[in-house]
Amino acid sequence: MSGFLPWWLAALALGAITVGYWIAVRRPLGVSGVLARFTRVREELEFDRGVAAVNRADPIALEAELLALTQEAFGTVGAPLAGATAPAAPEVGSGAGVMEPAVPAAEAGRACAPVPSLGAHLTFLGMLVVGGALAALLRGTWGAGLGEAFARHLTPGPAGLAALAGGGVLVGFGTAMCGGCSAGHGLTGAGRLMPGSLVSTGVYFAAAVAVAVALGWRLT
Amino acid sequence: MNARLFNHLAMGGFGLALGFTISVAGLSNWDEVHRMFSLGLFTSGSAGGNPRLLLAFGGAILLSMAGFRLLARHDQIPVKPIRTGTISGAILFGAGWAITGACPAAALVQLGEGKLVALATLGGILGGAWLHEKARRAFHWSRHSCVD
Repeated sequence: MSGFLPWWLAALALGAITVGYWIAVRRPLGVSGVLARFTRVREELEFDRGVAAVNRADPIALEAELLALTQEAFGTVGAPLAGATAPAAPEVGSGAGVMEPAVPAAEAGRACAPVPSLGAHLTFLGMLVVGGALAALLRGTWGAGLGEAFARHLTPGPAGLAALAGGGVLVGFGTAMCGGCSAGHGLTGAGRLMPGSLVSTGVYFAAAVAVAVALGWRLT
Repeated sequence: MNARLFNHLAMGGFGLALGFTISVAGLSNWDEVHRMFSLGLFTSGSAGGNPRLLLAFGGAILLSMAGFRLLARHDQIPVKPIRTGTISGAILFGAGWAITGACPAAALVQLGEGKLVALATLGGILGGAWLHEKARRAFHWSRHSCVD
């Protein structure tokens, strides 16, 4: 089971996939959030229908309708709803009322695409499995164990399976709680210097080191 | 091209590339992942404290930084701020990654490699995500985003 890619080639491939995915798909690469969608399929299918309806709609008509609904709910500018608490008055000289675009037009780059459908995400996850199968078949390692040391410390059987399932629960709960995994927070988020991702990546790596050291499982 | 078809093809292609890379890089191999996390403390022989995966993962992040800066500097990508669950969630994820030797993508890759025990890991991950959604609703935690 030796003969893995040299570190620099693995780094190059992972880096290219991360940046290439954004440029081609216009979504930040992530896995844990995609996987979590499949734990609430009915809700996510309804979400997909909403996204599809927005994509189909005429943008001008959509904006007009949203404006009308917003005004219906919150009142029009300059005519606050009776009884509503008045917002804090803007400071004099702060350019009150002038809307500044979030990104200057000249610098605006690619926009983020809407969330892909559950079907497209299933294709993505399915092809991760196929990628692993292809690599294992080409290397002639298909069906081999998780690792030699793994087999020694977590022998096949109920105890080993329970450790994997329990550890899996920590991975699923933890990634949902911190909002990303080694792909979404590590490769994409930290690569974009996002504060939440840099902190997450540092913390989950440190926690993994602490647990691995505490377990002290001997490797060959 | 039809946008839906494009999404299937592009995401399928990147899924294939990512799965293949994770496998040949050793990120789906429990021993290799443990070699990265245990910092060579419990190893002997020539494969001992080999920092290969540490350099691969760290190098990939650095290359991603360079790539995003060069090619996507002004792109409007959703932000990821520090939130209430960031640190506690990351601690749980790190502990789980060390025990199972698998991040979410690697669990799927292991399954493709014919390592059927990964079904236990995968079931745990889905169960954990489901449990978090229940807890999030019960304790009124905010949601990070629809998809990360």
